[in-house]
Amino acid sequence: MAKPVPLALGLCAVLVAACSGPPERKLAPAQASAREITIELSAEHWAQFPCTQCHEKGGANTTERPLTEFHTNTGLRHGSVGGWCYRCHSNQDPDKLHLTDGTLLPFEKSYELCSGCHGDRAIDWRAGTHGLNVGYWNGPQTRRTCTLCHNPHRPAFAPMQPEKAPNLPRTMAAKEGARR
Amino acid sequence: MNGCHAEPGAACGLPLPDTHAEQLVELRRKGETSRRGLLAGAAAAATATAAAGCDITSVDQFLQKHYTELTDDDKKQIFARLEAQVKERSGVTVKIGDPQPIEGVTFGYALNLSICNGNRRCVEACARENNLPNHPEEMRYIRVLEVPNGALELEKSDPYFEGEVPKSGKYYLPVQCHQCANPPCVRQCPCEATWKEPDGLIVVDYDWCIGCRYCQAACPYHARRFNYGAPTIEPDRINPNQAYLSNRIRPVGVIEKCTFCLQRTRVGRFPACLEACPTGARKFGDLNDPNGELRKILATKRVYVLKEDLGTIPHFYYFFA
Repeated sequence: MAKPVPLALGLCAVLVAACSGPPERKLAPAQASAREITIELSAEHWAQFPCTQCHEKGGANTTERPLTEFHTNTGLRHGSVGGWCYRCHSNQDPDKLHLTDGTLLPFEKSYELCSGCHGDRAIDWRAGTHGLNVGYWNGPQTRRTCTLCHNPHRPAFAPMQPEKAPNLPRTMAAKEGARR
Repeated sequence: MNGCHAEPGAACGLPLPDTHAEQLVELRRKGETSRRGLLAGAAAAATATAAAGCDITSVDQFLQKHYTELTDDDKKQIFARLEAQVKERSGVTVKIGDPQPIEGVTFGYALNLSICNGNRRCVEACARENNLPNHPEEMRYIRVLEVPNGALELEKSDPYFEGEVPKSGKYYLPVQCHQCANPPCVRQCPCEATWKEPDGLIVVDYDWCIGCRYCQAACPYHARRFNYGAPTIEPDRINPNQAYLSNRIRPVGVIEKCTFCLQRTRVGRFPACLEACPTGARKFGDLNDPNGELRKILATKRVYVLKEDLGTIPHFYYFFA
């Protein structure tokens, strides 16, 4: 744009620019990181809660057997060494879980139970390096409890349908038939 | 230089028509220095300009300075103009902001390859957040590569995989901008339209980019995308929370890329891709925070960066856990 501007004017502009320079960059002030962590609990698995609607305290048949009448779609597939409902659920109080030492635990604290076997994952989860945390990286975060992502009865992730694949570049699309 | 490409199908010659330049000199002589005044004065020339495919707003754009030279007043005017453009074209009211880097923060990203199952939810969430078009070209910042187990050679990977995931014998490697500490793309830019911010993010001034695509060729991660056509986005897909250096709707003929969602992360939020990941494979935070997740991962996990031998020093880490 300098060409049509008279030389003197151009020179002035250059001088002014040289003296003042570009505006100073102001950074946003640093904030103290204040992570407040809320643990998001699972609700969908609780459809049949409280268990004492049907189960009496201490009244269950704890022998492992195929279930034919109730809880038939649980599809228990957790761990390779067997184990059944009462490895985690308490017979003494059906509305609670129990740790391996017999300590009763409310369902809200199920992650304590998971930690009993999956210690390395639990350490990572508490450190925020395993699991899905949403919200603010330096502020309030919502941390999902174990059973919100992993169905406790079938903890492995089920296969998923991926979102749409990217379009092939035009040149490749032309050869698509040949390529695959 | 950074003029008329905002106009879809613009056929405007650069520089501006001579009549325009003359008028500018004339106005300067008269002591008329305000840009708005100039525009009013240039109304007669506007007919000629319009015939060449430019409108009045592109004169403003033509005279626009580089991002780092903009004063707060300049920014206010420019953002208002850009907001008005979107309103006129799509009928959507958007808010263009300019969140600044936070002092002492360097952003980093870590992705757990043991967990990622290639479901591409991140790709879709990114497209929604960052106003990526489906027309005339489909553009996505994140490419998820399906790689045979044991292979590190990316030429064996397939980004076009379909069907249920994860497939046995494969692992999934999402690739997006690595926000390198030593970015080859920035060095290539002939007009300083792309640069590294104090918080480590590599950004583009879309109004300063001339569309030469040197940076795209220089990036070893295939992280930059080019707008071959004027991007059009369905109005219901437009994200109204926009930032000048990141997800505002880009003009035709410029380069764009992932900015770790700076419109979100600079105000403390997580990037959109992270929140969309159903497996929790993505971790984001401040590399300078010794108690942050990122530093814990770097200290305790098996971490690697892609194409380390190139010396780009990415701020994007892959780990196994």
